[in-house]
Amino acid sequence: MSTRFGIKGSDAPALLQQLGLRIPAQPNRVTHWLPHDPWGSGRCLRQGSSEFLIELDSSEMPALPAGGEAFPNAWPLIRSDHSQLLSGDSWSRDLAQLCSFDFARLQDEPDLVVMTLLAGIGVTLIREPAATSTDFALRLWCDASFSTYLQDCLNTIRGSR
Amino acid sequence: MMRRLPAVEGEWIDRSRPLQLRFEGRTVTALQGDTLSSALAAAGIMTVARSFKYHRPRGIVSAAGHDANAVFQIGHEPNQRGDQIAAREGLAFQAVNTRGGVARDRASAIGLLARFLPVGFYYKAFLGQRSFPWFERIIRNFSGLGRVRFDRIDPPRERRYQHCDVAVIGAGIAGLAAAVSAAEHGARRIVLIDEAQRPGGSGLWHAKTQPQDVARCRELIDRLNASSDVELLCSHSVVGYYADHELAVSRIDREDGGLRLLRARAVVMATGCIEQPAVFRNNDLPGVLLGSAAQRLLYRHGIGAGERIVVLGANDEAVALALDLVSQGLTITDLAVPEGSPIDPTSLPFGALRAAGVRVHGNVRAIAAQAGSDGTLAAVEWLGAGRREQVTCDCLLMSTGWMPALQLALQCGGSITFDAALGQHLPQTLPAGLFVAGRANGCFDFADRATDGAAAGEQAARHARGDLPVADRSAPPRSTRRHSHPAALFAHAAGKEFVDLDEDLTLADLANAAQEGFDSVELLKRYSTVGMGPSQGKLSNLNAARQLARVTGRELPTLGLTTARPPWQPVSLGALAGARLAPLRRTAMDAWHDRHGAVWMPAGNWRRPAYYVGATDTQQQIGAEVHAVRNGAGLIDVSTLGKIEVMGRDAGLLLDRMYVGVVSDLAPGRTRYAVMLDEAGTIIDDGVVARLADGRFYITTTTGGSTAIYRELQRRVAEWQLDCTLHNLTGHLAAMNLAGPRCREILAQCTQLPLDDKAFPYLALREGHVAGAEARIARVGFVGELGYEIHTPCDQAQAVWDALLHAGAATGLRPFGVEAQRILRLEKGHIIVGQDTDGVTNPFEAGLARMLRMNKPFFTGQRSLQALQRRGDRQQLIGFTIAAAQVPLAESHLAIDAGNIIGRITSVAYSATLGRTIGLALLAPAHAVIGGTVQFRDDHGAFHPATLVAPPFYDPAGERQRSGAQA
Repeated sequence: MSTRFGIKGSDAPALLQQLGLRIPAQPNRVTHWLPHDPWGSGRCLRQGSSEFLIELDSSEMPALPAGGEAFPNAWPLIRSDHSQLLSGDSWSRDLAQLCSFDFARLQDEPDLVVMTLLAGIGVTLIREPAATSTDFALRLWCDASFSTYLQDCLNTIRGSR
Repeated sequence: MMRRLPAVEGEWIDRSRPLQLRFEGRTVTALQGDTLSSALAAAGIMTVARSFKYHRPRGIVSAAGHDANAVFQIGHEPNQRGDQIAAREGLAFQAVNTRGGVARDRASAIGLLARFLPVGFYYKAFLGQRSFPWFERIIRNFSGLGRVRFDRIDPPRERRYQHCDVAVIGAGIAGLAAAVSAAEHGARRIVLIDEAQRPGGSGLWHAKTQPQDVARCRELIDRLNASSDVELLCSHSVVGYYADHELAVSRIDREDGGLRLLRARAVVMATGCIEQPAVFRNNDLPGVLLGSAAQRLLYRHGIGAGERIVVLGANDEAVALALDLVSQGLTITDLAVPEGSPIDPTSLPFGALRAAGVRVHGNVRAIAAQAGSDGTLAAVEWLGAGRREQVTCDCLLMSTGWMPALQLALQCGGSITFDAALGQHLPQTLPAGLFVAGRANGCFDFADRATDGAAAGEQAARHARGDLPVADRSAPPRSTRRHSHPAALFAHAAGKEFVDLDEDLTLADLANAAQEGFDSVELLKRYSTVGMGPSQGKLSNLNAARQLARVTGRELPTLGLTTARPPWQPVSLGALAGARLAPLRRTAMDAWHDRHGAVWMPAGNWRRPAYYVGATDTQQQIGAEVHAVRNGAGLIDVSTLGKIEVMGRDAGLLLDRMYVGVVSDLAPGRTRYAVMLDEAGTIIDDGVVARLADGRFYITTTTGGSTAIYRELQRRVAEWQLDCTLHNLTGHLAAMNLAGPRCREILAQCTQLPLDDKAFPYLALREGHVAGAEARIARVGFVGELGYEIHTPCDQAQAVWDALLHAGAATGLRPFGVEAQRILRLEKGHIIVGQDTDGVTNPFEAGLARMLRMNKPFFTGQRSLQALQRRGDRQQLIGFTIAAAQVPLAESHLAIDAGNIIGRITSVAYSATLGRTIGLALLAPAHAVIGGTVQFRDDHGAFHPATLVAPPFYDPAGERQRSGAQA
């Protein structure tokens, strides 16, 4: 069970940093949080310059300070995205049937946040931190209303191998 | 006759693996590695097809898929290239465009009418003719290639995306050298694509006459195979070249081949040249084929092109061809050199031919092939040395010139120029990252092709890794001699000199078209259809341009070229369609609906329950759902509504500019109905705007409009440089509407929020919890009853839905679907944007003028409305009633007055609550008079009188939704 929410607005980076959280310095990058990070393990995706998707591995929602006068442009967001982990090194090859992104880029840029179309729907993709140098797993998020459709598509391409 | 020869070194067939094919009911024995064409050739079947227009017998011409002769029906797949489809056990195929089979095609009688079917026949015969539809049916029934099965759905074809550093198109000498060189210069992902089953191209021919070249070619192939950086895609064709070096690559050795979309950082085009046919009388007879076709058949499939072969040759390649075939034991009786050829029949190489017993004839003209009793080639004659000569033969090989395969370069924005010295087109300008090598670049000698390819491969590798700008490579080692006859067109008094084998167009047809004024290549193409057949002019465009030049007295380079468009090679619609993805959105309660008998209907890209199946029929079921809402309570899933949060200092300003009313004055916790227009004043969306807090609004949109409205809001924020941000919650929040006079008592069981009218009045919004889930609850409704719209995170929505149903079980709460909702809202006269409005309906016409705040400084569509107000309405939305219950009227049925259309129905339904049929219609203003009568015409032409009324039809004072008053 994980907890997922977003923070958006021009003050969002400053707000997160004030909480002592490590955030990606560049847009479209991910920072993986470890158990000793303030909110525990999880991941912080910077989607553009001022929008963050935060997913914590625990089910406990952290107390989010109101932006208030210090950070008037930092807005917490409800995020009910469908989240899925794709493990196994053949996924990048299989996903080529559904997605035009060059997954080889994730070998060279493992902290890349990819916002692309997969099977015709918008998804956000990252490469999971590798336990070994040969591990290759992807974590993706999409609009929850597409979860069944996406699962059907993934099952189809897995079944067609 | 063609036949299988003893084993030829390097052949691609496996003689130990015979295959049985069926061609038009006849068993054909082939070998593993054969194509359909080579299988027929090995079986001695010379006539493989019938021509498109005159149904003339046709045989193999290019053996490379460059012509449309060897095109077959394989099962339900029409128009498959026999030169490229691999033979496999049990495969059954037949010629297309025949009546009764290729051997005895009854439609061949149409050839007798050829003189009455001139170029532009359809224009001349049918332009302005009222009888054309009758003829059209006959013509359409008679014409066309292959049969399409509309009654079956094939499995999806594979389509995949791929990325590479360098793509090399063509695996001949230049392409092989380019791929190897690119790998040596640091490119890591190289894809080498070739249409043939194996790499090597013409580099593997001339095994006995030029063995050192063949050895060099094999060495390149070995190096290629040893490289882990190169992926070899044989039996694949690049059918399109798009921006940013995106190549559409189609698999061509199977009728169900898929498609790759290959994105390259750099591309080398080593596409070579396409050998061009000579044009002479009866040049389309089976047995007349290109010289390169004979070598393909020989070196790939071990097939001799004929027993007695004559070569019509105009270049060095013709001499090499003759020597090559002789060295492999084939019988070349004669080599005829047409007048005007760029080679000298008295030169040294011809001596070797003469020594091999080949008779050489110079300056021949008036060439004509003659058919035997079986319709295939029996002899060829020409005028030479002052006399007419005739030679008996069963094979005539044409080797008179080439056309560089540069169409892909043109597709991606390159340009070409005509090189007068070489006598062919060459690349002129190319997009950055595209490099052309080999024969397509004017390099003809073997070593030159390899050198040019290697240089192009190096440049491509440098470009791929970002070495910009890539320095121009040294001048390519282009040939200094002509390799093409300037115009191998040999008119004959008896005609039948075919320029375009696809369309049965002759020299005379093109001359006539030019003389009729169609004297540019583009006009000639459209009028005569030259180059518009399945082979896309590969063997005809150049000769057609030469004929045009000849007829008009102009030079070939001044004529220009026709536009090259994808696909360069035919590709099936199935391959283009790929996996047929149709993204479908499901709400959080989708599985519940499914389990409880939902009958689905599409709503935008969502699916929604139209109604729930029960013990009664559909109409009764829908009626029961309506009754529940009017008399007890109903629950509908409205998660498909667009939901957008607008945050920031300028959020109110943005919404004031987007909606026709004022929303910035809303107090926190209040909502308001709002309408959105486009710049033309047309209604594009409606919904509810709620103020959550200062600087924070929450809006809903129509189901179909959510994505477009979100984008439009984003665009406006950027354009107006507003201090606000947006969040699209459509997929994050589910929504359900609990409606009906008893809904308050149901909801009260699930929330701690006070629900009385004072604490939670009509049009208020509260944030709290329902069944333990965070929720935004709005006292709004579409159906005209006391109602609560509950928005809650998707992952908690099912629990809320279940809790409400449980709480309402005792009061008869039941889910209702879209069909019931539409009746309920129609009773209230609430419009559906897109159904009760169309692409021009403005608020004045839709009865929404009360919503407008024209005195605001600005809102989108305001200026147009000011103009529309002055102009007056073109239509008016109005209600109507019909006393009868069963009226066969539906949306879009017309209102007719004195034979004129005066409007149409936008919504209509029978209201059991009201006991009559009710509806909305857009009528001409003069007819939209309350109390008046209009006549609506149904599908069968019957008229139904209706009385015009002002909606709403139900609870016109709105007491029920405002206070929950009982009826």
